[in-house]
Amino acid sequence: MIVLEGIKKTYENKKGRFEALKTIDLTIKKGEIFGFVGYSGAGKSTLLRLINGLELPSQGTVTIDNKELSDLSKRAIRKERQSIGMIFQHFNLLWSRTVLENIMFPLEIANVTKEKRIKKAKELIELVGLSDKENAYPSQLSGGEKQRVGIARALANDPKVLLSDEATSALDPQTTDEVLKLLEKINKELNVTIILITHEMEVVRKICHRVAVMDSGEIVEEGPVLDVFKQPKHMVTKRFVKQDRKMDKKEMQEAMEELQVLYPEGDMVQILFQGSSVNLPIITEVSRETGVDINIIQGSIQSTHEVSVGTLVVQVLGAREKRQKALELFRSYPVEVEVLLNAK
Amino acid sequence: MPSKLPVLGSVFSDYFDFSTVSWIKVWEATKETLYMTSLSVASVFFLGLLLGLLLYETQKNDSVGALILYKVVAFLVNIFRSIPFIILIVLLIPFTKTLLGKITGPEAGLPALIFSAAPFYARLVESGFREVDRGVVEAAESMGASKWEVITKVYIPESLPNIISGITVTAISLVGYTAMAGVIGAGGLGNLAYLEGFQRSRPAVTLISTVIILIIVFTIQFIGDTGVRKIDKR
Ligand SMILES: Nc1ncnc2c1ncn2[C@@H]1O[C@H](COP(=O)(O)OP(=O)(O)OP(=O)(O)O)[C@@H](O)[C@H]1O
Ligand SMILES: [Mg+2]
Repeated sequence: MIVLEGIKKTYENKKGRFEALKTIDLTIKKGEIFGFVGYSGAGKSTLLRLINGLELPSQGTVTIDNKELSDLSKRAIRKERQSIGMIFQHFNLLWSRTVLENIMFPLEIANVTKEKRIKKAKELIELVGLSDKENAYPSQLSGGEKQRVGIARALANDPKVLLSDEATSALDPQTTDEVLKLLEKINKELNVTIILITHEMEVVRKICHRVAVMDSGEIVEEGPVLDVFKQPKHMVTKRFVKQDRKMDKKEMQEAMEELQVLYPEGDMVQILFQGSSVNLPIITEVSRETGVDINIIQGSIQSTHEVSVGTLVVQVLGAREKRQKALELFRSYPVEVEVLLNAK
Repeated sequence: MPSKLPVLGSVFSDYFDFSTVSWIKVWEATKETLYMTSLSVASVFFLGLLLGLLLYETQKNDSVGALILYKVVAFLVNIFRSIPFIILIVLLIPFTKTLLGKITGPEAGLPALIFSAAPFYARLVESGFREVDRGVVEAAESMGASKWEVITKVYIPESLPNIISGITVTAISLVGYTAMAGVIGAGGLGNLAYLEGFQRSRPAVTLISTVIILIIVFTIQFIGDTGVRKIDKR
């Protein structure tokens, strides 16, 4: 368990004072995946550096499993860091070492014997799925592979906490998903608490249990991910959630374009249900009465505190007149109908 | 002026009159040059590495003590780097004399060689360290590495191509400096070329000395380049 109490962090240099963090109070539970989102400069990385003791707070305390970091000697803090793994946006691997040697690095620092180092590193290479690459150098790996090495390296000393600083920000969407799955697996199987910071709400939505939204050095909103998504309160949170929805739409657009290549003859139609109309067998009836085939592309139900709203995206296949008829029939139901894409 | 032509022709043939060459002396001189070069390169390597490390560490540290230390070291480094080598030798004669009790022979050249090349190499080492990815250093620190571990396990291996190519360049200029030191009396091929070749008018000796020095320089360059290519996995 990690407890942050009354944390403030002020940087002072020749140019003046800068309050990077102002009053942070937070408890992160054992075994959870906790996300921090915020725009650039919000203080996310600073907060992570406080958690692994690379930096000490100007005020307040960081307590990890009942040990207060500022009470410890420098040497003891270094020792403590061995039980906190960290992964980075730009991977930060040593180019001069092979995959195996990179993973052995933290074990060398922890004074583990060579035999055990090799054994442990090989196990981890297996875990992250890089068995055929153990003697490759980082420059020979793709971004996703490099991050897997980064993850394996972070796990080398069996940490209880894994810190992730924008670990997927340099990766493409598919690789991001793979890395997120791996993190989820690590959280479940090894019971490692994961604290991740990101500026992509999608990452939070996909794997985090709880989230804190940061803005200029403060936590402006915090709670279980579902709650925050359903009812964002603070303006910054709303912007993040909205941005994520847009991403969703973009993904759908791509999916639709793909389907249109596969079935060029179909119309893409979006149907919005509200409240009681959710229960109507609209699809079956339209299909039966007009003889069109209907593919379901995507469906979702979002509940607001008054009614539930369902969205269904379907593809209507058939001759032109039949499709026309189907559309009219759809419109006769108490639903909103929108043609997203017409057949080519 | 047609009368000059036969003279030029005889100068040219003088260069290839190998009968005047004492091969034993050439061999002795070569050994002396190699001795001076390898000893000075080795000392410059360790001293420069230490100095470079000191420069780097004191520069990024923002305590007052470190700042003063940095300024002093940087000042001395710049001074010694800027003094022309031939003047530095003369300047160091009293120092060499008290240190070694003599001012001739291969050892006598060493202080000047080291004083002039170590600061130069230290700067190369420092800039090599500065090129090391900050993120990698932070990663090592986040694993609990001590300062010493960060130096030996991150800074040095990650800047090794720079360290090697730097010592290659330094070694090559040291070969040149040994020749200059030779003229003052430190022995070696420069000394041979000057005493035997010039003062006794035996151009063939000068030519031989030149060729041997070139061979030494090219060998160093080749070893350095091959080494860098082997270790650079970036
Ligand atoms: N060592 C330092 N000295 C002075 N100011 C600093 C220092 N480190 C960070 N800051 C400042 O603190 C603020 C927060 O920095 P931080 O790196 O935590 O932001 P972040 O939320 O991680 O941003 P990003 O998403 O861009 O990584 C920034 O305005 C930064 O300029
Ligand atoms: Mg950051």
